[in-house]
Amino acid sequence: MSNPDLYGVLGRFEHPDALLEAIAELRKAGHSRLEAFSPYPVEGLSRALGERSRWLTVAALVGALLTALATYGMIWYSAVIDYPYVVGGKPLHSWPPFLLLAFVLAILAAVLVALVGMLMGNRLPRLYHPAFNVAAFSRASDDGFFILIRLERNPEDVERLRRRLDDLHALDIQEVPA
Amino acid sequence: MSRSVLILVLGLALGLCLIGGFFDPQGLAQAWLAAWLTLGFLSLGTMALLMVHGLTGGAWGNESKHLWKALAAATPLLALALLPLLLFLGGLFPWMAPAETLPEVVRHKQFYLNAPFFIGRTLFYLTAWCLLAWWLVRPSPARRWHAPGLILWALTVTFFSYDWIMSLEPRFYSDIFGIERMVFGVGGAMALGLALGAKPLRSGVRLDLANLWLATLLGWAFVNFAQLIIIWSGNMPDEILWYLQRGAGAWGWVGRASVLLFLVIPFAMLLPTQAKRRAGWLRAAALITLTGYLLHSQWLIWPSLPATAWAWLLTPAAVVALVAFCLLGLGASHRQALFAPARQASQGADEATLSVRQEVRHENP
Repeated sequence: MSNPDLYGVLGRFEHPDALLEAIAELRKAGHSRLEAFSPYPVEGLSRALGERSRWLTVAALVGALLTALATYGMIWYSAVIDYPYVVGGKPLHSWPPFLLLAFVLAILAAVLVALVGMLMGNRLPRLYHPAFNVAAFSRASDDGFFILIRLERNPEDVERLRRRLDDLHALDIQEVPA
Repeated sequence: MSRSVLILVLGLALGLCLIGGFFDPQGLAQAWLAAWLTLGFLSLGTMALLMVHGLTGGAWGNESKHLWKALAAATPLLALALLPLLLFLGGLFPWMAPAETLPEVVRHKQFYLNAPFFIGRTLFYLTAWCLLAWWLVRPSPARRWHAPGLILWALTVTFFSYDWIMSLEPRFYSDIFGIERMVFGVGGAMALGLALGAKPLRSGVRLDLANLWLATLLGWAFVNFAQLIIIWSGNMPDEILWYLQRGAGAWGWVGRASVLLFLVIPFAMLLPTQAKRRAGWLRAAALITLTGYLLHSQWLIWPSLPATAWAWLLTPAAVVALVAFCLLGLGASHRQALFAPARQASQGADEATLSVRQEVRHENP
């Protein structure tokens, strides 16, 4: 009988390819609650984990377009309706400079939406994670490539998960307390 | 396209041009100029791509090089096709008129805009481009010349644009005109290359090329808008007239349509990453851009010319004649690179791996 307040099982790999392979195997076997940690970005890792972030780009685009519209509307309102004042003989509705400001703020909005959305999607900033309780985990910022399988409801899975990681040649297999 | 078909097409188109030229030589010169300026910048643009790739390297160029080389190889032929126009300068450029009939602004520019200096400059540009093109289409151009080559290219294209496009309206002046022409040419050239040869490339290479192309289109938007807003804010008669002519009547709509086709639609099409990997999608975007390229080139040139009906009728014939002439002169292997690029691409990939290996060996002896 395993400890009921267990967060998951952690295994270390020496090489990013082994990590990707293990993730593919685990996902094939039906494990979906996986987390991966690596010292540097591994190409294809988020795809292997089944993470898809299509909404982020769409959100950035929508944010940019809305901001552009709102900016243009605001300048148009202030220059044409609220305080009509002829400058340099130009028409009140002078679209070239309006467009410039709308563009600049649209880019700013796209960047901010993408940044905030990325942080929210990754549940950042997060100062604590149960894996920090495992001493060997510090190698995740040095040379270790880790997989963490979060436990499902069933507590007696733990032994099977450890064997499973062992079959995949993981090292330092450990249980992570919650 | 076989050789005999090309000869037939060239003969027919040239025949049409000559018949038109018999009735209206000035119209023929204008049509030939418009056709040359439309096509010439495509070939010039590919030279910049080849030299940028020579400086940076990268799979995008290793595997698409055959396309750019085939297009750049047309430069000497185009240079040859520009020479006859040197006989018709009087019918094209207003500053050739007697000095006392010219406005004062233009009279001050005559130390630069006069026939002997103009012809000498043109011959210099054409010679420089021929040398660059011959050097670039060699199997492996020497590395150290890419940076000086790009500088020479940028200067010659800038002054060529001042001379042959901007001086059609000698009162008009814009600093940024040369850069606008360069970026426009590179954007159009990439569209032509992608329209012809996107299919056999690897999807990762297609993505890289599409991103570079998108950046080029955005660069053009930036430069072109900068020119517009500077001239619009200054509102000086000599400069704003150029835009007023191009905003009036039908030309205004041609200009809007060309920006929509050259920039806005392809920009929206190139936003999703997955779509940039698909050859059919890229080809569609490239064809739309090329349509915009054609329209924008006409929008730039024709409002400056006192065009006759003959000039209008002869322009398509001149374009066909120039294309057929270039294709004939390019030879079978370059034609194959453009129109049946599958075999060439796989060869290119082989060569690319070879050159990467050589580079690796060079760096780790």
